[in-house]
Amino acid sequence: MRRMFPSRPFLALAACLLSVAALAQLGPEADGRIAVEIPDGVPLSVAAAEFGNSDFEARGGAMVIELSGLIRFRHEGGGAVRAVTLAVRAHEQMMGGRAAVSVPSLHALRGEEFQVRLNLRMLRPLPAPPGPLVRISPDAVLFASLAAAGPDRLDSVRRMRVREMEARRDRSYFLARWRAGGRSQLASAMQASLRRQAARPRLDVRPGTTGPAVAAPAGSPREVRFAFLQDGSVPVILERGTAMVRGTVSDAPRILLRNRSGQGIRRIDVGWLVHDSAGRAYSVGSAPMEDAPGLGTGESLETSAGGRFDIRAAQAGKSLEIAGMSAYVRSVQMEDESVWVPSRDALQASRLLDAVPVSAEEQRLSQMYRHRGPAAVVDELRKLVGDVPQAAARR
Amino acid sequence: MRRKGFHPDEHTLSLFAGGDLAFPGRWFVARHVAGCPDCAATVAAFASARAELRSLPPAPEVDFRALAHRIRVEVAQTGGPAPRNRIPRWAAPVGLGAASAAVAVVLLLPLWSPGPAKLPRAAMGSPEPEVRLLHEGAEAQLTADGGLSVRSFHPGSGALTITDYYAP
Repeated sequence: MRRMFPSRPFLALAACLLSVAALAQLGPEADGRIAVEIPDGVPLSVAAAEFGNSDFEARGGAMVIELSGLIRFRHEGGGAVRAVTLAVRAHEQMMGGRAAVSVPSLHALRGEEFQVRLNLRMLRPLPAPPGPLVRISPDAVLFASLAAAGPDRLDSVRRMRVREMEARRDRSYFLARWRAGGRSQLASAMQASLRRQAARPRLDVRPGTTGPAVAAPAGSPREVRFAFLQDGSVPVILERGTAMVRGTVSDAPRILLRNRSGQGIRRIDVGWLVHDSAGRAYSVGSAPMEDAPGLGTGESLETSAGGRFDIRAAQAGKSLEIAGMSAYVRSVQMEDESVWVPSRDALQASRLLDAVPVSAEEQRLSQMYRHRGPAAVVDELRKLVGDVPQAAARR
Repeated sequence: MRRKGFHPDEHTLSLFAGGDLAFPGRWFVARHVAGCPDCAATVAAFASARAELRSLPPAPEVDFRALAHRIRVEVAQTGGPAPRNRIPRWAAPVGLGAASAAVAVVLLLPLWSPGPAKLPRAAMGSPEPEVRLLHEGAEAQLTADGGLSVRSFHPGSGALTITDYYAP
């Protein structure tokens, strides 16, 4: 008897196609609640956007937006895209209304696609006006040449350049280890990095209130001098610095610095460490000195912060008496927008490597090693550095 | 009330009802159930419960990665699970609107610690305090302007995503 119905494989294929079409239609992108926009001058186009897991919920006078999904961009420009930062806006003036999502260490050539995952919570007031509730657009795109495109309203280009310079430094280091001893040396370097990340002592630092402290810190205030960890190639010398310290609270650090480079400086990030009475160093973080133009060659500048910083050990209930402080230059943005970061050797020599946080790239590569093994890291290094000989790659 | 004498325990009966009991236990229990109305009733109840479960719609899919990420962010923001605020029963009718608005604020308030003082130009900014949470591939860090930065690694693509929440 002749069959009256299509075959099972045909039905399965048709069902799959219908499901895919239905999913594509159901995404919030399709119903207009999320808009992905490409600003002028950004050489990207949207290949696909999927926000099916997002949730929009009105709570009280606000809408809570659980944004979950991914956008696939196609690179329409010239050089390889190395990083991208997306601005995510639900409401400009509301707490929780603005965010940025960055993905470093990309490698997308012309015509190739890359994806950005979004998983964040946004908030906007109600009633919502007509139109999209969330607007997503590239704030900046960084290319492998360190050139950039995009409106850069969030200072994304500088941040991405610093990350990329740190990434190049760390990729070179891991590549050198691999060239020297193959996968076994790379694996031991990765394991050392993971151990260092796990063992590094952490602090909980909170900007204190500007007014009188609610609870007076213990002990009498004393002036603590900064010790400086200098790198031979650093364009800015930290000459002297002090901070008033009382117990776990540090007030008004002051640092005198001098530009010894051949050009003006736009911004300096100073890494800040505190030492406990046992001599352990804890990285407090980075103190940015913004808007420091005019610091020409050979000129000095004294900077100060008016804030009060309460420094506590990461474990709750464990207090730390600040015995000393030290600082180092973490990054410098020059007048020509180039970026300087300390070398790995300098970090190693000054024993900063054990105290300061690892770069985003080292974290990424070490996590990749952890999840996928050394072969995946080797492939990644080959892709991003591009000058690895095939013979070495097979080792 | 169960009659005196040997009876298989409930665990064994439930395995038997689902056909998961191996020989020779299956044979012994079958023999016992054939002659014991109490145990037969228990087996019938288990079988009926299994049938009901099968007729239920499948459990909804949960994006555990997204859920875990959200939990990490919230833990990082609050330094631990936030205590629940109880609204007195008498206040519910009058305070429902206000409470709803407050919940919305409370939901996002932990995103930021109190922001640092506005600094004069060319001054040192407040420090970007160090990462204080390291979880499975995700870290959170308070930023200089009072926002929050979260790093998360996606093992499948090998991508590190950095999400910065800005203070207004």
